[in-house]
Amino acid sequence: MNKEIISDALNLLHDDIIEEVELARDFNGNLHNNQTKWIIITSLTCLELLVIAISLSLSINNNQIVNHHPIQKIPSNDLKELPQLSIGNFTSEGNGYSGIWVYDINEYTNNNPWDETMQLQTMPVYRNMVTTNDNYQHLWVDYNYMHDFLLDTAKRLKIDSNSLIITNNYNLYRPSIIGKTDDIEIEVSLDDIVIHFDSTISLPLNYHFDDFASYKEKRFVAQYIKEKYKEFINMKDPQIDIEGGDYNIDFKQSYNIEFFEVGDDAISQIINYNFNRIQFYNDMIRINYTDLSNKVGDYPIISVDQARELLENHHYITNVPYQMPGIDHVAKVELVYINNLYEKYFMPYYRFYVELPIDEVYPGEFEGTNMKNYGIYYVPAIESSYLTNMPTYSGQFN
Amino acid sequence: MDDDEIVSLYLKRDESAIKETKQKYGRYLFKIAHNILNNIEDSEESVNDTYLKTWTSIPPHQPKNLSTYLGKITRQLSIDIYRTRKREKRKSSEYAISLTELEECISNQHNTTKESVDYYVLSEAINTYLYSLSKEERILFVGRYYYVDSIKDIANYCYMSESKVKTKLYRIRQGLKQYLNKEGFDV
Repeated sequence: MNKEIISDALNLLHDDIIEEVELARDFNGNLHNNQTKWIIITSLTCLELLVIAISLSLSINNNQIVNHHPIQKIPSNDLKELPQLSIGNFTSEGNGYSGIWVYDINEYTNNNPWDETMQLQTMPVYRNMVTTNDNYQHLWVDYNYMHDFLLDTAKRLKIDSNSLIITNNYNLYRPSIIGKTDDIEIEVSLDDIVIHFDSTISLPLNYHFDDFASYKEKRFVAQYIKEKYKEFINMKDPQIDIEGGDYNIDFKQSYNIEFFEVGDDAISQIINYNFNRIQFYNDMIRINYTDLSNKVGDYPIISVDQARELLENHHYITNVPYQMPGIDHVAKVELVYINNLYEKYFMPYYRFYVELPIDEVYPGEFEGTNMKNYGIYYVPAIESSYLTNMPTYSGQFN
Repeated sequence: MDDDEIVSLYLKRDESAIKETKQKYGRYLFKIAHNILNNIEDSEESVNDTYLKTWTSIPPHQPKNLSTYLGKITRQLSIDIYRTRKREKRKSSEYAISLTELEECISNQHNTTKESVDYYVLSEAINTYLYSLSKEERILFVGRYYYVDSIKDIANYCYMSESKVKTKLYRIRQGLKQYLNKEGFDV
């Protein structure tokens, strides 16, 4: 027997096995965040965090923190000049669907600064500066720019650039440039920087930073990080965000530690929350650096009630494989930006968490439990008159 | 358009079936092909051949899950192309790396000819082995060796570090080798 024979035999795998993996490939990737696939860590039991970075007075460039002002009155002349926006299909990243598993929706938590009482009338829209071809391939990547960014990051980590082994990763879907030393790997991609640490150093004994540490434990660690590594975080007023509380396929609950800049006002806070974040895992740090330099304009947004009406009338985007079961199934709503590399514009959406009929989703997984599954449905928050293609669910998946 | 409607178009011999398939699954299929071939032109060829093969195979087939059906065709066609062009000098693909890993499931690489292997029996044995694993392990194995996803991608969607993925895959491969051996396969 040879390896090709085994590989060929895999083409006769049972469909249910393949379907299970199809679902998991995207479902798990989107479980915590539908915008980008985060790199989640599980392996190390003791945090090593900034270990290296810590001593380093690293100043991460949380660029593009936008200072906006809440707009209460909208000059009509300005609105006329706003170009029409097109909505992409950001749910088609893969072939699974977005959702969270919790016993109660209140278990799922984050520190999204938006809430329904804000009465916002407009929100900024940005043009995505990253472009792809029709096959979603990044063919026009400025590796020199990324190289400079890598060196700049290394410099901030006080790493001698001569000690870096640098390679370009010419992946069409996720191009990047990687710099490595014996202890650190820095990967600069189109929308983030990921820093991996190989060596380990334990936190003080009473800190727990394993993957499934409780909310309280993660918050405790976050406070420690915030104070100890303020310079590294490099924010004027970093806000702790303990995001998560949903369960994985083994019914284990997990939370992520994030920080975002508080901002000068409500809108800048929302923008920072969605685009300028640092996430800490037990062997890695991820820094968002979405380019928001090309602002299209401040667009009028609809209210939550108007968004609910649209949702009820099936004007939504989702990759949940069935129609929204009814407005009374809505458990939670948030205003978010879809920070997806394949979107033409970064614009706000109302994200609805809708309780799904469990027996149709994962009968095996949920049998005999009270676990609930919430599917994610997005309704554009921009007024429909500014959209060229208001989505309407037509019974199709993706 | 949902899968049933697309399949229905094939059954009616409506050529828009291909357009709908391309629109819905084009990117998904291209990813499978590109994982194996690491070449844009070859991947496009594989995906286009998938549409043709689907057109000629529905009917008589009426797949219950269209994405799985299409994915299997693309995977096999891509592997065929990979073998055809194997002699050409080209960048190694994830498929080549994954094959090297699969080598660990066997120790006796040359004693059994391809023709003497009953693929159905071997596949059933692998299916049985996979059913004996945890769901997480199945996802790791099938993600790596069926979809030929990179370790990094798998780490992303399995919420693990890359080193953990590698460690687990190694154990799963060793388990498969032992299982096949126990079942009387010449590994």
